[in-house]
Formats: sequence, structure tokens, C-alpha cells
Amino acid sequence: MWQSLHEQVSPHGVNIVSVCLDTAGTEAAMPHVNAARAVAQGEPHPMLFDPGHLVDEVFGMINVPNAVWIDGSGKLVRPSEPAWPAAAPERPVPSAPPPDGRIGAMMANAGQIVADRAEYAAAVHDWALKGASSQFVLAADEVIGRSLPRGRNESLAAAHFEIAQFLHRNGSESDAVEHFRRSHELQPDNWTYRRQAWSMQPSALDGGLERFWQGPIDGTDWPYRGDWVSDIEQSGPENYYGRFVP
Amino acid sequence: MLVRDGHPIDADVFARRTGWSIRPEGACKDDTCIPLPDRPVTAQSLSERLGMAIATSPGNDVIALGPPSIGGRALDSVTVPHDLDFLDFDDNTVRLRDVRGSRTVLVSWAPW
Repeated sequence: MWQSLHEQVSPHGVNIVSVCLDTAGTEAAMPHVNAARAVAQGEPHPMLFDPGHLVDEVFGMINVPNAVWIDGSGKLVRPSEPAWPAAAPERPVPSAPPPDGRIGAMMANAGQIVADRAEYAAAVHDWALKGASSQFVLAADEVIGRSLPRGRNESLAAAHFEIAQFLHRNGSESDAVEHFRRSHELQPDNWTYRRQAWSMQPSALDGGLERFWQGPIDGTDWPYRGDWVSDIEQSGPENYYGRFVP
Repeated sequence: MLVRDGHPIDADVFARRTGWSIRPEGACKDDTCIPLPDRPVTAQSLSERLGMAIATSPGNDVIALGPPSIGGRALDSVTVPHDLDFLDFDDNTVRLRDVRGSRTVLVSWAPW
């Protein structure tokens, strides 16, 4: 879908560059990368890999998808915000109730997530057509002011997340979990820190969906305080992504 | 940013990661320079002057410096670090400025 948006706006001078976050490596991403390559009408959009979550610390991204806009001189003209390539596709109303248990809870919460998909995609098209005169291009002080607060706790969260990744890469899994947990405590609004850590735990799903389980399996230990279902229910699925602010 | 405990900061790596360059007058970005008290530059002085928190791991000789928090926001400038680099899916280093168009939407995603 980002490939499709890239093909729509690149003739007007806007490129989509996607960055995949995954401490666990590229394996889970490759089917998606290959799918984008297969549908590309010509050269695929640049697809980058960020195993260390550099975009979290450099741009303040806290969930996926998040995006920033960079103008031709290398300046940010919009800060990190939830980002979408198009309006949501029409989906048929399910005829059967959701299943019981965790899968049903995951589906129910996912269905209540609020995302301003059409508004964001329209803004990208507007920027493509109007350039610097687009109403969605922000002044420098506005870009900085809209970026998320970052104090000592958020900086320390990033440091613990990086230590956790170092330990994970070196096979010290239980020590890594301790540092992942610390990053979660220090920056509780950062979903990428939580989802990344949860997604590397054992899963009850298969068929390519393994990484989305992100929670305890009955009868086994779960090393984290939260999980995707309990945390999204606590914060409210309507707050999972921030709203698009023009 | 991972650093060997007690070792000096690699100025090139530091600039790529943060956009702050280490110069004789201090740590500099755009028109701002923050004086640094020691040379070679240490993690402790950057932590103190730029608000970069330090996490340690007992038994390992690496420490991690969190990003600068000096301005109180995730962004302390609108200037994208000039040499910010990532990987491609063939494990090659790719510098963001080499794949940017005249204007860029840089979007994160994940398979999880």
C-alpha cells in the first residue's frame, strides 16, 4: 500500500521511504518486502531496515506506522505522527461473532482502533501537489513543539532498550528482558518498545502470524507486566494511535 | 548509543546518531554549541550537558547513552542528521540522504 502511494506521489516529487523495525532480524519482514517488490510498477520505493529502532530515538517514533516529512533541504516539516497510505478498505460486516479467548479479544480491540487514514493520505497528496505552500507543512518551531516530550526518563528508556537489544543479540535473554521491562516502565506510551519485546516471546499463533500474539500462553510464564490485549484495554483502543492534527 | 565503558566517544558515530557534532567549542547542532568539560569526550560529560541518560548492565563492559533530552522534546532541531544510516534487506548500509527524493515521507512499519 505504501508502494501504491509512492507511485501516486513520486511523479510530483515526494518519495515514500519505509523503515522496518525489528530487533529479531529481517526474516519476518521479507514476505512483506517481496510483496511490495512484486506489485511495483517499476522501481520499488526505498525499503530500509532498522534493527536498532534508530527512528525511535532520532525522530521520537513510538508506534508503527509513524512517519515524518522531510523537505528537499533535509529539514523536518512534520514531526512523527501516525501515518497511513490510504483510506481503510471497505470490509464486510462479519457474520459470525468473534471467537472466545485471546484471539477474540485481539480482534475486538483491533476493530475499535481509531485511525485517521483518509485524512493523512490526503495530506500527503496535498504536499505532493502544493509543496511548501501546502497547509500541512509546519514551521520549524511547530514541528519541534509537536514532537513528544522527552525528559530524562524517556532518554533512559531508550538507553535501557538499547542495552536490552545488545543482550538479546548476545543470547542473554533473561537479562535482556529485565532491560526491556525497564524501558517499558520509563516510557509507558512507547508501543514499539513493548510490541518489539512481546513479539520475541513464544506464540500460540502460526501461519505467519506468530509475532502478533504478544501475550501469555496458558500454563506458561509471561515475563512482562503487560501484554497487547491488557494494555490496549487499559489505555483504550481509541487512544492506540493519536489523532491526525492538520 | 552503545559505548565501551570508560572509552572515549567516537565523534563520527555520535554525529551520525544524534546530529550533534563534536568540535573544539563543544557539542554543536545548527547554531547552538554546548561547551564540553573534558577531552577526549566521555559519556558522562555528554550525559550531563546534553541530558543523555546512561543505562548500564552489570557484568558487561558496555553502557548505553540515551538520546539528548536537552530541549525537553523528542526533536531538538528540524535538521535531519546528515549521515543517518540504516540497512537494506541485503545487509548493506544505506545512508538516508542517498535514497531520499526531493521531499520524503519516512514511515516506520514492523512485521509484529
